[in-house]
Amino acid sequence: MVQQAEQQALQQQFRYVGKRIPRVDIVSKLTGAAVFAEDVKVPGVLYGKLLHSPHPHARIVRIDTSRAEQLPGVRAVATAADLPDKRVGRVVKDEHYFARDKVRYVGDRVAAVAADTREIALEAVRRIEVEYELLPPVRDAFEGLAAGAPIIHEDLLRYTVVGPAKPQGGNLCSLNSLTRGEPEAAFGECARVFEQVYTTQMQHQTYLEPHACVAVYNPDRTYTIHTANQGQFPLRNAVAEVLGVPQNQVRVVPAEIGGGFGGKSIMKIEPAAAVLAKKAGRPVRIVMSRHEDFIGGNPRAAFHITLKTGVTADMRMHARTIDVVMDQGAHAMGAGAMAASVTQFAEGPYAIPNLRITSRLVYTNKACTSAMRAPGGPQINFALESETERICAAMGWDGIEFRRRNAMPTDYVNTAGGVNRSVFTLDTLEACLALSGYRHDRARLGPNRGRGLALGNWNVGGNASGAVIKMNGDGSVNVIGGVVDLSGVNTTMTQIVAEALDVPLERVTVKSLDTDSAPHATNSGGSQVLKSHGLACFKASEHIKAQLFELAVDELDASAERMELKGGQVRVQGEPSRAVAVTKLLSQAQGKTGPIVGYGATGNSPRMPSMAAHVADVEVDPETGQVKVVRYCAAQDVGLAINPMSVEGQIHGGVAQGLGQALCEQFTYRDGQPQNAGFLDYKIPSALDVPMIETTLVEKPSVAGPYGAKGVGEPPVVPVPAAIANAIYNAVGVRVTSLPITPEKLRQAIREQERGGGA
Amino acid sequence: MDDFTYHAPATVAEALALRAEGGGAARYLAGGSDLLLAMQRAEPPVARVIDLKGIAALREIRVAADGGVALGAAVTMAAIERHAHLLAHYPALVAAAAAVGGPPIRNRATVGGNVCNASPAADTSPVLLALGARAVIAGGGGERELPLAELWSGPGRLTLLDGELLTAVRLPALPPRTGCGFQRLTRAAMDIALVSAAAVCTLDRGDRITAAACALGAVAPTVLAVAGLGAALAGSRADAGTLARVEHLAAAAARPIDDHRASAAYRREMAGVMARRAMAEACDRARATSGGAA
Ligand SMILES: Cc1cc2nc3c(=O)[nH]c(=O)nc-3n(C[C@H](O)[C@H](O)[C@H](O)COP(=O)(O)OP(=O)(O)OC[C@H]3O[C@@H](n4cnc5c(N)ncnc54)[C@H](O)[C@@H]3O)c2cc1C
Repeated sequence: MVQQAEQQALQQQFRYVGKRIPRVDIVSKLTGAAVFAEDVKVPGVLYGKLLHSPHPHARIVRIDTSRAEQLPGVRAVATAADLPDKRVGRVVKDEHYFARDKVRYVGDRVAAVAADTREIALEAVRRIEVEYELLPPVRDAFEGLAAGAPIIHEDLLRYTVVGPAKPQGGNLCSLNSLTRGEPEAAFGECARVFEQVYTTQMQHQTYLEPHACVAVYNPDRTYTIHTANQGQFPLRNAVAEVLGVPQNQVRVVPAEIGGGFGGKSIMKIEPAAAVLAKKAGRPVRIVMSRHEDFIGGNPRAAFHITLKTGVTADMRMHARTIDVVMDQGAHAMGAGAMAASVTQFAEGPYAIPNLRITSRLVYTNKACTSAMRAPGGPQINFALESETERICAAMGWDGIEFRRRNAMPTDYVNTAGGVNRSVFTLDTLEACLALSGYRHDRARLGPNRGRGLALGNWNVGGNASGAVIKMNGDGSVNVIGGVVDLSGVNTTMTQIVAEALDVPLERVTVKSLDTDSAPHATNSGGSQVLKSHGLACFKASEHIKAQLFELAVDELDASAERMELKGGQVRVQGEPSRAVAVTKLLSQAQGKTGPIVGYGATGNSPRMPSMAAHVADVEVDPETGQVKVVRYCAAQDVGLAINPMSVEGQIHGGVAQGLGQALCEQFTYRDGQPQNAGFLDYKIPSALDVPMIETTLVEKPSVAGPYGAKGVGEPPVVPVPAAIANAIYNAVGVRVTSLPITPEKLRQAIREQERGGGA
Repeated sequence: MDDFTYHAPATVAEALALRAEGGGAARYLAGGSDLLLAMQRAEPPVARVIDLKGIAALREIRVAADGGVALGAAVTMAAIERHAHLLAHYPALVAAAAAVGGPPIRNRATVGGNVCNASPAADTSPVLLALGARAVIAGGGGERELPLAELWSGPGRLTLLDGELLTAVRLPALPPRTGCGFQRLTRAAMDIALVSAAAVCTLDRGDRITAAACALGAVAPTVLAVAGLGAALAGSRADAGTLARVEHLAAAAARPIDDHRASAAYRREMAGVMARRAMAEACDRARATSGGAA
């Protein structure tokens, strides 16, 4: 009740923020008018196609493109020979864009062609002759760590490292570790110590739209690239690096994007299209097939997590070690950064005085894993929150009381040494318990039904971002940003600017512009846009206000500090009659200061936990092991929901994606060969598999975001696998410790229990 | 798959002639929901497509006086789903048709295509097989009929002679107190069956089984009838012990493979479970029917 009143008071302060505003792009999306990368029309465009390695690990002896070049209609063929001999990468520079000496996974880029038609391009790709000398593949992380394993990057220790990765040699791309207290000694002080291994699978982002781009080489020797990427600036920088040109010579134009979930935060086909466009002297379009998108994608990494937890008699976690081995794939990509970030949030939603987190990132001959919605989050959380319930079951403790006692408080000094501000662990937990009636009818769910709880966090950071606002003569504004409009970004920014300048929504236009036009900005990912770019937009609005107030000083005969902007007027606070129309100030500005343009920027900001608490009700068919999710409740700590409708949509989508990870999705390899690179074989949940999802938003303002808002996109995917695993345990009394919990795996566990072998 | 000619004959005779003329590079097209995917990989490429949906006779569902049914090969799953006689007497077939893909697929997918694609996981095939359906085939030499089981020779392979066309699938009339059941197991909704099973049984007034059959999908190179099941069950009461025998016989008959979707061992176990559940469903329906199928 208190909380509700607080929330209402919070919302009543605002006119545009906190409101359920329909997305500004809704009409163009629904009518099909929205222009996606594949739709970009450029005269004379050629069809580009890549040649991918069919082998997981092989030395390239010879590449002969002559038969492809001779095919009529082929306009260009590109290989590593057309690019500077330079390794690139965002964390460890471990990759030639086109394979040079070796191929390291099925799907590695070997060459590309541009041709008049798609059919000619396909035929040309078939005509490229590559002689390979096959090498034994490293099939998983433990094989990669074993003595005598084939080495994927012989020169690893000579590679340039630009991110937080710490290469160790062999196939160990990075070893990261963080410690607080003395966990080993502290285990000795515990009443009981638990150990368990949890494993998770490789999961693909399965965005609706495969990667697509159009590249143009301009007469002034610059490149223009239209693409479906999550960030025009990071992509531009990556492409410029591959091509070996200065960043100003690459202009990336963001297209509408059909989903990304992190999978489009990596450069993919863009450099190939650019180099082909230059060679052919004509624009080139490349659209990946779904098969290519699977084999050449950047899925979520499979984790092997060893947890050791010591508890005291008074229900406290006193010591814990977390050892994570990550199956990274052939190149470091974003996974290199993940190794480090995982160590920062693996403490989870808890305060544990003695803690060590170690992560090992291992090269394998598979697709290069990278960011996927809350990278590392659901994997670690599956282990942490499964273990919470396992410990409580063994000790006869109440899981909720246990969580209450161990919950991370606000202003907590985290294991990395930073301070976690605005942490609302218990508020989120209580909100979920209330929403779901957690205890209420738990005993009356029916046979083979069970209810599971999980509490999770995702620590939202923020990257440098700038925004520009131009105020027009009639007081309307154009907001120029360099952030891709993903999951409602432009709508949210519209609300923030409308609120800050008190102008109606229809007088605010937000555009995500190309890299020549917009100030540098972060990519749309990691739930950070609101905290970084949202704040930049807010500050740019403040900058506009400051200029207007300065102009009004003479007119109102008051100092700028005493002024406010309300309803198209600058007024003296508390004296509404002392006011001047903004339009008047704007026309005066023409003769004085010139155009009114606001600029706002934010630098990188530290990660802050956003909490999510989920409760799932499942029904298990013990004979088949099939799991039906019958009800789902999610509470989330969102600071303030700038647009509650958008936030709820993020929660619904996150839960659905999490259910896929929990129950059915798994990208599999056998001896380095992908086994299910398509939607027939790679199963994602459909509308028929996902129950109604009930949500509740915990709105306690954060110290960091605009209007107290927090990032919301990642947290809802984090607790799902653990909530499902816990619900299954409560339904049939068996605990599955590896994801996904397929019917077969669960049936196996139930059979073992039937035979009396179960734990 | 770019250069092919498209033909829409109005009669079976025209279709046969077009097919004979087109030779090995010609294909019959019904709903196209399997064919279009196959054409993307076809070697040699498909040069001629002969659309069967314009042939009115192939789109008919004909109910015979005895209650038996002839399903035209180009009858869609959607048409099966809303056919009153099939709903009343062959509910397992309706359930199988309703399990195929989503609504847009079911508006195109045909029973002939499902059978002729010869996938061991085809959903309508186990039901048709358990019901004792026969394939009606037209070819250069006229019309012939075969038990459905003799139509399949392996995954994606038919015993049809070159150019022959399936025109209909004939379902025999059901004796009184006969019921049928269909069960399938998938990884998620809208998935190809991991295992499926269909069962048919006839009960006498004393609840004893007089006839029974069971067929399994996705556990062998073709859809598979559980051999000897009818004889093993004849005379026994339709009770839990009998259903356990069905489970055992079905699991023993299955010849599944390991793949990334499931292991052979799991598929075998599930073949038993699905068969038992399908037979239980069939028995319940047999008890619920008052008289014959007519
Ligand atoms: C998204 C999707 C989901 C699917 N889900 C399912 C599912 O859940 N269960 C399932 O069983 N199937 C499923 N399928 C497969 C397919 O829809 C079915 O097998 C369908 O019944 C095929 O019928 P069709 O009319 O489309 O056949 P077509 O594709 O037209 O033909 C299939 C094959 O049979 C041949 N053929 C067709 N008619 C005749 C005839 N009368 N005589 C001789 N040869 C003939 C064709 O030449 C072709 O080789 C799915 C397919 C898709 C694309």
